[in-house]
Amino acid sequence: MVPVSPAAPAPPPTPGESRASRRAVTVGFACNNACVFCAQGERRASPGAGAPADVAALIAAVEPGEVVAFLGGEPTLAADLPAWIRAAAARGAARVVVQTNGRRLAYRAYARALAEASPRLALDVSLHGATAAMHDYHTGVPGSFAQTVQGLRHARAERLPFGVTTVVTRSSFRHLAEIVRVAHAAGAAAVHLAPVEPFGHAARTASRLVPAPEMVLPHLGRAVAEAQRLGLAVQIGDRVVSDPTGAAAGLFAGLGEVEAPPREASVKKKVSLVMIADQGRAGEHGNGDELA
Amino acid sequence: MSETTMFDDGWVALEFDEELYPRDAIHGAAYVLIDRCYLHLERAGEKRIRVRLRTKTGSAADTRACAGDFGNEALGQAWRRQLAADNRVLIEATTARGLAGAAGPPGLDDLLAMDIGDDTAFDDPLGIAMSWEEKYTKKKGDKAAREDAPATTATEAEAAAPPAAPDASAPALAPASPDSDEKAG
Repeated sequence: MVPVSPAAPAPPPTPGESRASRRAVTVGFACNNACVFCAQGERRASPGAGAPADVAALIAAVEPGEVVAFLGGEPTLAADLPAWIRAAAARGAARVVVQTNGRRLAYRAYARALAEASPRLALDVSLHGATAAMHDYHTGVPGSFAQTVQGLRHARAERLPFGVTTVVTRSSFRHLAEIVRVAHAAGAAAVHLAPVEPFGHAARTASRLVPAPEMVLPHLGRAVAEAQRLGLAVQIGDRVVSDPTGAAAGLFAGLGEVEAPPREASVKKKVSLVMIADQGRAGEHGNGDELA
Repeated sequence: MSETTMFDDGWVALEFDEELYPRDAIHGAAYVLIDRCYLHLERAGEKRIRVRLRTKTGSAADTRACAGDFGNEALGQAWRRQLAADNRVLIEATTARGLAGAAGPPGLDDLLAMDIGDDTAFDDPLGIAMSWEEKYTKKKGDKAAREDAPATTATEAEAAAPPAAPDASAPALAPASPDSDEKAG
């Protein structure tokens, strides 16, 4: 691996990365947020939740050309994260993605430490609101919005490419277009609008969290239109809806380990949101009203 | 203190060597007796201070007793002054830490103003790099301790409460929602 200075721009993700196989490396379940839709539920409070798994063994299995996704919990809580990123890159990973809430990057020096770990690093940053009230409600941590936004600024300053993932809930679906604008202003290359995954805490409080698909649809359409207008790639659920530069393929880490297998009723809710993605894709050139 | 003189008019004079009794210590001793005596300080020579005192009652016996008390108090004041000087660094550090803790963690603007070097990459003055459970469970314990204290008000206890745990109580999170979406879906 050739070290690069912080000022050197990281290479953007390429469309070819969409074909690269993805290897998920879960580093532990400890997290500094307490999201209302947390799919890991009781796993985060289990004994050893904060202890890293045998990450070194997982990294040793990385094949050249793979996309390596570090998942948590919150991976930045692990002191060894920069070393793991370096190790994954040294194994020949095409890209290393860290799924994070970005709060620790509020420390500029930490953002720099990550950027220096590998020029192939990208971030998948969780942003769950367009305002502090909306985001902090979802994360359960007052002040987390300010730290995440500051983290995004520092990631941008350190030339770390990143996408923004937003979980669509009953408290955020009306504001998706605003969240897209915040993500764009912060320097995101892509946005990922994800359904509530029916596991863990989310499975137990789905009635409060999961919006009615028919109500989400117009807002989803407006968000997609806004993202396209701003030149952002868009992924809804597992589907890439719009990706003019190929950015989305290499930026999102996907769902990590969850608390328990889905229950049948919850699966139906998930399927219904995937259907939204299909409809949104079909109407990607329209505005939200047309989709409605 | 080298000599004590009793005068016919009821006043007593004491002389102190500033090498043994710093001027601040003599002022401190005078302040302690100011409710019982009339006091007057004057220069008695090179590095010497004369203290004249008389009790407010005018009793010669009381005045002699006060003169003795003054000598003892001056000695105590000198010793406390020496202790404060010896422990100055510790006192200042403890006070600074107490004030900083009362002010809460630094804000993001404070962070930006900090000198950022590579060696600070893993510093965590905001407590970001600790798990939610680690950070807020401790506060729950503090809250319980405060609730045991009779002087604690309900408002103080509510202000110190952490956000609800993800699985602790679903209804507790509902009022904080930025949107009233209960009718939405």
